[in-house]
Amino acid sequence: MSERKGHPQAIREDLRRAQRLEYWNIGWSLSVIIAMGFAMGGSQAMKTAWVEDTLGLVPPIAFLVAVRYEARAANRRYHYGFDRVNGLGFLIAAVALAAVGLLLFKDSLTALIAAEHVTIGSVRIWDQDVWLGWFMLAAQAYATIPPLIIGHKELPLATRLHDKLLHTDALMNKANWQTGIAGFLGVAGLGLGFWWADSLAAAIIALSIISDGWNALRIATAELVDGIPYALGANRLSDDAKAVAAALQKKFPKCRVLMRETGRYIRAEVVGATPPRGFDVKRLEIEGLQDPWRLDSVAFRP
Amino acid sequence: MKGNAGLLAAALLLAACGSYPRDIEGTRDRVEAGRVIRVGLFPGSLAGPDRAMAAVYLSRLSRATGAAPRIVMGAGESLLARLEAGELDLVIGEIAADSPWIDGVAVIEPLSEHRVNDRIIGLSPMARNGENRWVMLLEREVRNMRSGG
Repeated sequence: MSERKGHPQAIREDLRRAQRLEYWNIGWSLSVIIAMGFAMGGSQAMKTAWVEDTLGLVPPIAFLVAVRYEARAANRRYHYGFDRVNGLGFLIAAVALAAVGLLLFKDSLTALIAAEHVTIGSVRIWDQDVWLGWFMLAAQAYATIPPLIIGHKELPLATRLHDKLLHTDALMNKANWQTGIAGFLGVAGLGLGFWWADSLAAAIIALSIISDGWNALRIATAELVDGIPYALGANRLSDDAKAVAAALQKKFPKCRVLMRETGRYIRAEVVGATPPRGFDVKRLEIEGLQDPWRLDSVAFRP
Repeated sequence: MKGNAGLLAAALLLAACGSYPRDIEGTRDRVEAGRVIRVGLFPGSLAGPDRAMAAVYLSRLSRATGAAPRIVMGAGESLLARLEAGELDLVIGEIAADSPWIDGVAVIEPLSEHRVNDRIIGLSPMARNGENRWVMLLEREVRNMRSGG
């Protein structure tokens, strides 16, 4: 594993951008949490959306912590460096995403079964009685904007950085803006007299969040138990790993090639061969490998 | 961004509707159409000034809706259960701020309140949950009454 200090040159600029984006993410998320907290009143959907927005802070914080650790050099206690902190952060983010989905689904299902009728009262402002639902609608509309923009900006960075944690954060942002719209439609539907609108919209979106969370959880677990390198957001071998396997198999035809992923890096092992004289992984030519920085090491087991 | 434009359009459309928010079970429409408000009163809590206050409140509601109150007296629990089931439109009585009924029905801000030891007891109108247009009217009349308007 890598004992280097810092990140590979090829991804430093993108990592800086991703860090900046995550600081913005945290700032905007806090503003949404405050706005929703003031407006939520008695609406169950608003409360659930508020919990979701709060849990949405987990992936960006996990990412910022992981990036700092990942840059540290190996030391006396951690001989192989800190690349896997990203994987640990990914697992935490995946658990948060799945938990949000389950929480939202439970709440909406309970409300549907109990046929809950939600009361939203009014407040007097300058001698006018204003329905509190208007404040909820405004807060929900505001709550959809930051995650929509930030999530959209995160996706290409996550792809270039092969960062599953950042990708999960983009999914979390997707979950947040979708829930914002569900909450908006729910409160608006409630205002039209449809008691079920709120819970039904929330339940449908919760199922999609659970699916994203479950997928992320499966991939995060696979990484932690030395599974094959997965493609971003998909349950299959990544194209880079395919290219590495093919190149090593070609060079060592009678050997077995094993691979695993630590954070954003691929580690390969050739079983049944000794390293050729002067073998240097950095000079290995691999056709189809989009990002050569991802291949961190090739080990040999005679 | 298309989604947000849609939300804005929906909000504007809703704002254009005069009867927004609506009641889930249509209480206010039924009261106005039937010209009757089915009211439950807690007998024990309506003595002295509270009784007069409830009477003034009911006459204000009558003026606002064009409906006459049809009053039923009964024990608190049974009236609130009937309110929850939709057999009554309004219950007026004393209720504590930490009563288990606080979530079961919509408790409007009180007409008056007093303290019994550590508890705050309010003389409050109460409505069925989810009747948001009706609840807004009940709230408006309490505020008008308290501000002398």
